[in-house]
Amino acid sequence: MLRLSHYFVFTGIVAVVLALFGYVLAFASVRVARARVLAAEGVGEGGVEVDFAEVPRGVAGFATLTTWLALAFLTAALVCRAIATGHGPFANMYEFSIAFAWGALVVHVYFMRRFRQWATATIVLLVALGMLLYATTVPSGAEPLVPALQNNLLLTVHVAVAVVAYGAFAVGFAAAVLYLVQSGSLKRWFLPRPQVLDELSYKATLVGFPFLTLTIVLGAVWADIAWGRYWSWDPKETASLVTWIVCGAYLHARSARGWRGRRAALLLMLVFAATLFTYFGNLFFGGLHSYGKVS
Amino acid sequence: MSGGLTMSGSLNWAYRKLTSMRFALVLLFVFALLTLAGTLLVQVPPGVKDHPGAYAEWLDEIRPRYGGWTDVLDTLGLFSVFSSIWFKGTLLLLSASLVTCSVRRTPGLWRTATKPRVVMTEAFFERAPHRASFSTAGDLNAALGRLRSALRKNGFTRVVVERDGDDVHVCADRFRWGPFGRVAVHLSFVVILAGAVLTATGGFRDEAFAVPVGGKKEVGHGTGMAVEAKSFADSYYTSGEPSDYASQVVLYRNGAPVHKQEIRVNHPMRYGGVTFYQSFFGPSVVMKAKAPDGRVVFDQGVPLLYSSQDEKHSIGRFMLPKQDLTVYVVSPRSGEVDPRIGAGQTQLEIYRSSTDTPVGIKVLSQGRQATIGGVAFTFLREREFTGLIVARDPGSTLVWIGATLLVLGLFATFFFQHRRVRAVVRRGSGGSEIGVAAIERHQEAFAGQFERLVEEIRRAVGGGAQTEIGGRANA
Repeated sequence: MLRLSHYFVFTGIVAVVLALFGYVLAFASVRVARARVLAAEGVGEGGVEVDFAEVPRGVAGFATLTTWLALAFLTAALVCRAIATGHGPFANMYEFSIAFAWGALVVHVYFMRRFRQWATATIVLLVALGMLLYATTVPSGAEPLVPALQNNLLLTVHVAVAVVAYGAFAVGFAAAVLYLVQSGSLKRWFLPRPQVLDELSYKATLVGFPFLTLTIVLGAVWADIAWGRYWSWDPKETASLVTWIVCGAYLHARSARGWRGRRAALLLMLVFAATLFTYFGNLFFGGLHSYGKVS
Repeated sequence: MSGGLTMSGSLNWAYRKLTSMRFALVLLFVFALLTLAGTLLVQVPPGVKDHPGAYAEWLDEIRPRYGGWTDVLDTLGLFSVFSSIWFKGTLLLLSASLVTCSVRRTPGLWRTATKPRVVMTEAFFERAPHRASFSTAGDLNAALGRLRSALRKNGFTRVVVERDGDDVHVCADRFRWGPFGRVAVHLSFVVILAGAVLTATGGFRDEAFAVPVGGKKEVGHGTGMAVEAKSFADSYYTSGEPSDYASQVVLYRNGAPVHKQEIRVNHPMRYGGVTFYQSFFGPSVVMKAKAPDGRVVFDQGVPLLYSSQDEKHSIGRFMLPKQDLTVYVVSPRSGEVDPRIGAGQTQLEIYRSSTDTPVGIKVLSQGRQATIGGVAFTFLREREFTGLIVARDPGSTLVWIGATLLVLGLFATFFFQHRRVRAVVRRGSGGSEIGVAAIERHQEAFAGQFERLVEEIRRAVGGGAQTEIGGRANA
């Protein structure tokens, strides 16, 4: 079962790479098609939004299919892992990294279906790929759980919720990056309208924020059971609180003070940086969360 | 008089600050920065700051790391960020800001939810960012009925209708109580903080509650409770990683056993508001002491809780107050060899509480007796002790209430967003005309929802109807 899980991770990585390739191809083909139309009509580059309908059907189908395949493979990898170990597949950095990539893909696919936006796929897939490649560098053994982690329900729910939050921040980050790229020199890449990206990043954060809150609250519940207090200013707790505050500040700045566009996008980069800091924080600072040993 | 004016002036100023979003954002920023500092800078372990000597020692320990900045950071209180005046002050101001804002906003939210403006102008239906119009056969009531059912199917369950001359105006709401989630979220923060203050100031917390197996220990703190440890077991995986720590305990209240449980990591024992957590374990030495008159004045395990400076010995301590004696029990730590204290032996160091020179030092073998200071000490055997954390936390209930409020409020705010659409039904050529329009702050996200609603209305008013969609939904 564990072996099977490793195979699925491998095929997942292949699928992510293929999907990345597919989306780059999609951008390129839209660009070529647009340029031809524009040249024929002899008009300026007006509407720069890319519609998936404009992408040649084969390319679009390939990109979408491989994205779904990547998600399916990673889901299978996590399920096999859970069956093999008997607990939620979130107990060390290897499992957590695959889960992070999975979370990013889940939230991405949700947004892809809901808002028909695929431009963010490239960045999200890059984040997922980064996480998966990182996973291959850490020990993948399935060690039994130390006493503090022996709470199957909370281990599963606390981390699963965290993974969705992280995934949502990855999507928000992707949209923010594209927004900034858009306002820079890459206008010709036919990205979605800036307002669409801005709105998308906002929506992603709206999903991420409650999930991060739930992660922290469930963490407090678990800490109260396992460590004897609901909050101990453990580095990972504190880092997640920083992420939470920055994210909360973004939501207020946006809704009450009308921060849009560039400033909002920059704040979202900060949110994602804080997310990564939270994610890797236990490696640098030790503390109570030091289960995810990598050596 | 002028004093009164200044007073009201500064109150006014404070009110303006507390209700200003810019100020709240600055506070959040400071809160984030301080929290970040608390993650990045080494924080002093709890309890160390209570002893000036220990704190100075600790500062010297970290001095190589921060160099000349050590004293600056110390003066700023950044080695104990979370109990610093900056941190507490920020949280206090933030709470005040949250309460003021919530109190100020709630009446408006209430009005929006309960007393909507129903009759809108012609211009509204012509210029709203989301709008559509339909014509349908049938009279006003028939058209209104179809509109109503379409609205209901899209979750706009509350429909208020008002007549304005010949026209019928409609205001329809979906999740109109959603915005109160925001109030819940903001107040929950204050509730959680209040809980944290109660946790920090009330109750008690004993992190070094060691009970020798076979022995019994009073909890104290007015609980009337005592814990007897029946057994302790630590088990390991083949890799050497721990797999389980478990203590069988009996809880006594006012001398009578009231509860029996196995305490394990992740399975604390909760009784009468007091919680017992499995935390640590170690060796203990069971001692018996007899006063000169033959009375037994001590007969239990002494947990070897402390470590000697060279970290080669474990040390336990007990007192005989009547005899004015303090007894230290010293054993080599497991794996360490001390030529003076052999295997199966322990060393007693006995002091009178007033003096520094020991009354006597003696190495005892198991089962042997030695008389020091008139008291006969017997080293009975070695047993393990189980270390528990015992705590009564009066703040946690508030924290859980606040956390529940926070999560429910957030999900209400984000997943049950209040949507409001307005409609007007008029007599038209050969039937009725329906105009639907909405203003939403988050246009892009609402566009899809509005499209679905328009589709539903189109179906409801029947095929062949004229439909015209305007605004952003069309863009």
